[in-house]
Order: sequence, then structure tokens, then C-alpha cells
Amino acid sequence: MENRTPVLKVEDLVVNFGSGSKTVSAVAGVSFEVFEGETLGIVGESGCGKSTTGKALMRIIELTSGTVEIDGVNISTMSKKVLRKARTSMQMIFQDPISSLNPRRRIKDIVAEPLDCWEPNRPDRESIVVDLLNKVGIDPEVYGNRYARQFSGGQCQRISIARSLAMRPKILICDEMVSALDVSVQAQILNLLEDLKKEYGLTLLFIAHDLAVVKNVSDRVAVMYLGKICEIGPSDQLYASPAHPYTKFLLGAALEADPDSDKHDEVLTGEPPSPMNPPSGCRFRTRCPNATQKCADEVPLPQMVGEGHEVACHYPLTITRK
Amino acid sequence: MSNELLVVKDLHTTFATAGGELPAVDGISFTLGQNETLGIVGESGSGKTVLARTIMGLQAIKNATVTGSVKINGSEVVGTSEEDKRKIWGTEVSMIFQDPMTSLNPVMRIGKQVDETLRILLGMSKEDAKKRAIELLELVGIPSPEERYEAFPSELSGGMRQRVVIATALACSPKLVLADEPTTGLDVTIQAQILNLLDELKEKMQMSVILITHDLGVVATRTSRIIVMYAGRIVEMGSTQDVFKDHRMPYTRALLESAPKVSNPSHTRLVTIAGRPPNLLALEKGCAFAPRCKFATDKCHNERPELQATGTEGHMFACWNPLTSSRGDA
Amino acid sequence: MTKQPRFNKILLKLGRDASNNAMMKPEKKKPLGILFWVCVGWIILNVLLAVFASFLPLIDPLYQNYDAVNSGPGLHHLLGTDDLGRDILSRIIFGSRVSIFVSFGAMSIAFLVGVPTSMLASLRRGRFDKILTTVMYSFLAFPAIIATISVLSFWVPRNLAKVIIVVGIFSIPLVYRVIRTASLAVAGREYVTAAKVQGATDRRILIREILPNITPILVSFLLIGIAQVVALEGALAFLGLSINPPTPSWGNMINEARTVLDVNPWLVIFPSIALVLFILSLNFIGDRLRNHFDVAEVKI
Repeated sequence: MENRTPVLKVEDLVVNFGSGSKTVSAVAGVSFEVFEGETLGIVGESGCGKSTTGKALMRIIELTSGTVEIDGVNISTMSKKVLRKARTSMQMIFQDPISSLNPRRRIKDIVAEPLDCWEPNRPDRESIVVDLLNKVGIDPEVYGNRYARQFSGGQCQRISIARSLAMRPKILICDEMVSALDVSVQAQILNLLEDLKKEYGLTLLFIAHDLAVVKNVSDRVAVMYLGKICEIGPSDQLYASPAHPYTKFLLGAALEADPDSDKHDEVLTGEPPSPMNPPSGCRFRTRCPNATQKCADEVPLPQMVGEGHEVACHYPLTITRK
Repeated sequence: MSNELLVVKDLHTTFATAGGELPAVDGISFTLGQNETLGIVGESGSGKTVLARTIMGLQAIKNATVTGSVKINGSEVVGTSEEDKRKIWGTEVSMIFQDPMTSLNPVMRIGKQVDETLRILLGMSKEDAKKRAIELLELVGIPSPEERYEAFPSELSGGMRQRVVIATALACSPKLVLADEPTTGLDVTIQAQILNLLDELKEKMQMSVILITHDLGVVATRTSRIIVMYAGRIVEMGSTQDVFKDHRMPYTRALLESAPKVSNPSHTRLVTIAGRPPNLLALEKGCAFAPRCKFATDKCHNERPELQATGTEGHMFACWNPLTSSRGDA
Repeated sequence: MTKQPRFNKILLKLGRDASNNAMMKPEKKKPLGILFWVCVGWIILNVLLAVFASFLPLIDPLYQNYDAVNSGPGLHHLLGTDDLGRDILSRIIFGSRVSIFVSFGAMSIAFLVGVPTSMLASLRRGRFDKILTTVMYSFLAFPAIIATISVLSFWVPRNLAKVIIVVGIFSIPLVYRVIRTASLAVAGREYVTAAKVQGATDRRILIREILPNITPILVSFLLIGIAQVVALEGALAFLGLSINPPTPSWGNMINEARTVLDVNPWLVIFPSIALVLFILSLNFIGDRLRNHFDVAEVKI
């Protein structure tokens, strides 16, 4: 793992909304790397800043400070013009499948949109579109000329994927891309994503709130709470032995479709504090059963607790090795 | 089984649409005992929400036709006037909705919304109602209920709002509560809190709960029985153990297998069901699931399977080619 | 009905919503209705008559027939004559020219300026939007009709072009406000973000993504806007601030006729009917289209 190069490198990413006393600290210093061909999952509850992080990487939301490097090129300070071109190597798929497609355009035009923007009059435009639609399981002969509004959520998400692949991006950011879909359709899309990832050699950043979904697609997972990453590590290890108390609670609350599973006796009480006025020190301390004075005074720095497994906690839970 | 709280018999809800008759609920029968929790599971378009609303008696609208019978604690709901239904709403049967924002009035203090129900339905005095409302807010786990009594819904978080909705729904101690996707849209940790709260209140207030959801995880550990719906019909019904561990209908299995599990290692290949949920306006005459079912035969496409019993009590399924029982009693 | 808690009312409302949802998908759009097409026909007829008025076998609107002054409707003068013996039918048809030219002209100006600026503002947001919107809204703060009247009363001699320019300019903020609101809703959709991410230029996004989605509202607002300007021109003419007599316009016909109301009421009635039918038809078409395309209610 050490000699792999990061395709995406994020350092101390900060995103604030508003200003003055009403500043909302949505992302408060997030750093991570994503290596070529891997999938990094970002999981967390609403308001933890996971979607904002994704959008800030694309610079759909302007970042307040920090750097974002794609293949060693810093895009965080680029002018809009240069950024437009640089952004073709990174694409994004959004949560709402219906709203992601213009209802008044034909789907083959939607899929061809990136080509039309960058290489208009390409002679093989048609064949690329046909190929992409076939890849995502939409028959171009039957459906190519239909309007986006005639498709169901799952099909719309397939079309979105086809569109995002048109410029052969390196990195694909998936923001809650299956959370609006029915379970049976969700499984189809997740499998499709795995197949396309292999075929196109994609690097994925998979943002979602569903722990099971994130684990299923990710090689590594980062858990976010109130704008910070509290734990990051290989998925199987992180899920088997969480080192951060928050991760443990989160996993404990996950609902397993098994009548013999635990009944969530230990639930996290209370609700996350407002990001307008985050707690000092460790941001989780107000709800953490293990919190001490140190947690209020010092911001915990990430520390290694295992191979590629880092946790930002003064008192990490002991790792049980299998 | 004499003390059945809810008896649903051959219930049909059909919408007249420009595209033809839409059978949203298509011949459903089941019963629910006192103090029981029943899960109704289905994907979008399965008719689970329409079923819940029909049980409440909310489908008396011009384009909907309801036939069959719904008896809540002995009183018939189908075909009765709105006036009669209002008599049982709140006191006999109540409902918790998915989106707390639509069921709370944004410009009314939350305390007022709870005690309004008490004053009108139970005829309590202003002071008594306020006292009871504060008790209820405390009961649903709202911290410092006296202060929150004066708060507006926008000042509360999503989880707190859902607690207020629960307090409103339970104000007059109904015997039956229908919870339609009560935790969809809430965060996992909050979802666990709300589900635990519902469980707790069910015991405390001696009521029956119908938990309607698309998420099998929600019903797995909190129900005694489960109904699986597809295209407006019951395709499998039985004790929670039976449905999860000994399902006979291929759709039930597909639904269970297609959801990723936290306990599986990452990159586990998911089992998928081909196609998508059916169009209720263009159903085949046979089994509605047949077009997506890998076991489907000609019979499945042409003849509609009725619910049939298995060896286990209360466990029924509708399928021509059922899976073999894991218990080996088929 | 007995008093019921709000909770139960919500149940009822949600019950209705549920049934609406259930039938939403397969539902086909209602036909526009026969009245809609009657209105469309009426507007087209009016426009054709106005355009080809000179080629029609009409009596010269300025010709004064002293043998038939203030005659009521009759065979020779279908709708009668005015106090100078001029043919009312002919004057109404020629008068519609002014209404139609002014309204179409003014709306063209308002839309050509208002639509692109408002769309760009909604897409760019930020300072550009803030400044532009503040300017537009401060124009909206004082009533357009008063502003139009004051400018027109100083800018003499009046002619058709001046009326069109003044009315057009003062309609820009109205168009700006409505279209900005509509395109803001579209600009917030994820497909617009998606297009940005794929590298589409602002221009491309405006034309490909936003414009097609606000077209229904553009069309219906255009029709309603035209109707408003027809009414406004009527009011201006009534105050003597539109085109100068003896050229007829619906407004100045009504204005002139009110002095002889007791002698010849037809003189007021016929141009009023023409004006009202024209405005009603436009409003009706606009309304129907807006419902048909399911566009949210917009206040003008």
C-alpha cells in the first residue's frame, strides 16, 4: 500500500458558511488521501459535513482554506477557467436521481453533454453514447431518444453514471447516490458501480449515511462527526473493531436485517451540537461517555492504532484483533 | 384469538386514474392482536402506505373505491362517514407520519399542538391539558418539557420533532398506532432512539403498533409478525423468525439478500432482483412478481397464486414455486 | 361539523395527498379545453385584423359621414358611428393596431432585457445578482403606471415608438422578478450543478438547461404581460398620454366617447367590449398554459 500514489490528496480542508458570529463550521480541517483504484467511503450522520466535503473537492462549494490535489496538481487555488478543464478528471454523481437529469432533454444528449462541452463535433459521438448506455444497462436503441422525465429513479441513476463516465474521469465522487432508491434497485446500482470501477479503473469517493452500503463498496472508510474525521481505516477492520467511541455507537445503532441481532440497548443519547458553536477540544466530547477534562482542553490529533487505521481520540478503544 | 384489535378482511383500494383502474391495495386480509407489533414491509409502489391510510379510513375520496372490511376494536371503518371515523381517530387508532414537518403546524407552539387534541377529544380543562401535555412531552423523552412546551417546531431538530409527533399521536392513549416510515430520513443513531421509544411506549401504554417500512432492518428486532407486500398484495406473512429465516416466497428472499449487511465483509457481491417494481396499471394476470422471478414458470405468468399455509402456524405465502423450507417440513 | 383537533385535519389532508400521489404517475394531462382554443382563435383573429386592416373592405376610420352621426348599429355601419360620423367597427379594428403594437413592442423590450439578465443573475448569484436585483426591486417600489405617466407627460411630442419604449422599460423589473424566481428554482436543481461539473459554460447552461425548463412560465407570463400592457395603454390613452387623436386606439375611443355617453352609449360599449375580450382571452390562455405545464402561481 505504501508505494501506491495518491490520486486525490486533501489537506486540512476547511469550509465555513456565513461570517462573523453566525459562521457555520461545516468542514473543520479534514485531511485524507485516496489511492489509485481504491474506494474511500465517507460515512456520518446529517450535518457531519460529508456532502460538503465532496462538493468542496469539486469546488461546487468554495473551500475556505486547505488544499486539494488531483494527481499532484493543486486545484484549490485555480481560477475558474483553468478549473473547468481540470475538473474533467473528477466527476460527481448526486443523490436525487430525478433532479440530476434535465427533464426536457433526451437521454442520449444528456450522456453526450460532457463530449459536446469539450470536444464538439467528435465523429464518434454517437458510438461513445451507445457504448456508455450499453455499459450501464440502458438499451440505447429503445431508450436513447426518450426524455429523462420518463425514467424511474434507478434508471436515472444509471444514466447519471453513463454521463459521468463520458470524459473518462479518474475520480468519481458519489454523494448518497443510492439513498433514494428501493433496496432491490440499490443492489443493482451498487453492483454496476463495482463493475464499472474495475473496467474504467476508477478511484471512488463514496459518501453515504448508510453504514452497510458504505462498507459494501469501500476499501477504506472515514467516519465524520461535526466537520471532522474521527476515524479512518480499512473497512473490515474499522467495522470489526472501531477505535473511536462515536464509531462504536454508530455501528451499534445500525439496523441489521436479522431478528437475532442485538436490539440496540446502548444507544447514543442526545443530538449533535450546532456547528455554529462547536464544542472545544474534541467535538464529540459532549456526548461521549469517556470524556474527561483533557477532551475539553485539547483537540485530539489522529494517531495510528493499526495498519492504515487512524483515530482522533485521546482515549481510543482497545483494538481487538481477530 | 378472540381479543383481536384489528381485523382486515378482503380489503381493496382502487384509484380511478386517467390510465385506468389502479389497484393499490388488492385483496388484503389479516388480523392484529392486542399489544402486538406487526411489521409491513414493501418497496415503493407495494401499496403499504395506501393500506395504512385505508385502515385509518383516509381513503374516502372521490377517485378511490374501498371495499372489504376494516374493524378496529369492533367498529367498522370502511364505508362509514367521516364524522364516525373522527370518533375513533386519536382515541382508538392513531398514526405517525414519516415527515414530522407536514404533521406539525410551523406557526403553533408545540405544547398547544399536543394539548389541543386532549382538550377537544377528551374534553380536558385548559390547565389539566397543559399538565398532561407536559407529561407526554416528558414521556417521549423531550428534555426540559416545560420550556419546550412553548417552542415552535422549527426550533427543534428532526428527531425531537418526531418525538412531538409521537406525543400528539399518543395523547389520547389509542389502542392501535400505525407508524408509516417513522424513522426514514432520520440519522441512524436518532432512528435507534425513536424505535426504542416506540417499543417502550407500546409496553407502557398497552397498545398495538403497525410498523410500516421499506427497511427490513427496522422490523427485524422489533416486531412479532411481518407482512411482506408486493404490488398491493400480501406475498408472505408470518412470525418475524419465519419470515427472516424460513421464507418461502422468492421475493422475500430477494429483498433480504439485496440489502447490504454490516456483518458482511466489504465488496460482498449483492444478489439483485432484475427489473424494477411493477406498474400497477399493467399487471400480468398471474403473479405480479413473475416478470422478475428467476423461478417463474408459465403457470406463474398466467395464474395468480393465493396465500397458502405452511406447516407453521400463521405462516403463509403466495407462490407456485416456493423455496424449500429450511426446516424441511414442506 | 363538530370541532376537531388539527391532528385529524392533517390526517384528512394527508389522505388526499396519498391518493394524489398514487395516481400521479399514470395521469395524463387534462386537455386544454374548447374555451382555450376559442380564446386563441380570438387573439389570432384580432392580430390578423390589425395587421391587414388596410387591405380589408373597411370604411376609412377617419372618414366623417355627416349623414349618420351617432347612429346606432345598422346595416351600413355595423357597429354604428360616433359623434363625428366615423365608423366604429373600422375605428375599433384600426384602434387595435395601437394596442397590439404597443403591447407586443413593449413586451419585446421587457423580455429581451429582462430574461437574459434575470437568468444570468440566478445562475451566477453573488454580487452580480445582488446589485442587479436591488436596482430592479427599487424600480418596482414605485408603481409602474405612475412612472410611465410622468415620463410620457414630459416627453413630447408623443408617438407610438416613445410609448413602446417607456412602457417597455418600466416593464423590465416585472419580467426580471418573475423570471428570476422561476430560474432560481431551476438553477438550484442538481442537473445544473451536474452540467457545471462537466465543464459546461454559463452560456451553455442558460440555453440548454435553464431556458427549456422556464419556457412554459415565459410563454404564459408573456401573454399575461401583453394583456397588462393593453390595459395600461388603454389607461394612458384615456388620460390622453398615448398616441394622439385622431388616430384611433381603444383607450382614446373610450375617452372621447364618455362626453357623449348619454347620447350614444354604443360609443363606449363597443371599444370596451373589444378591450375586455382581448385582455380576458390573453389572461385565460396564459392561465391555462400555466396550469397545463404545472407552473407555480406567479403574481404580477
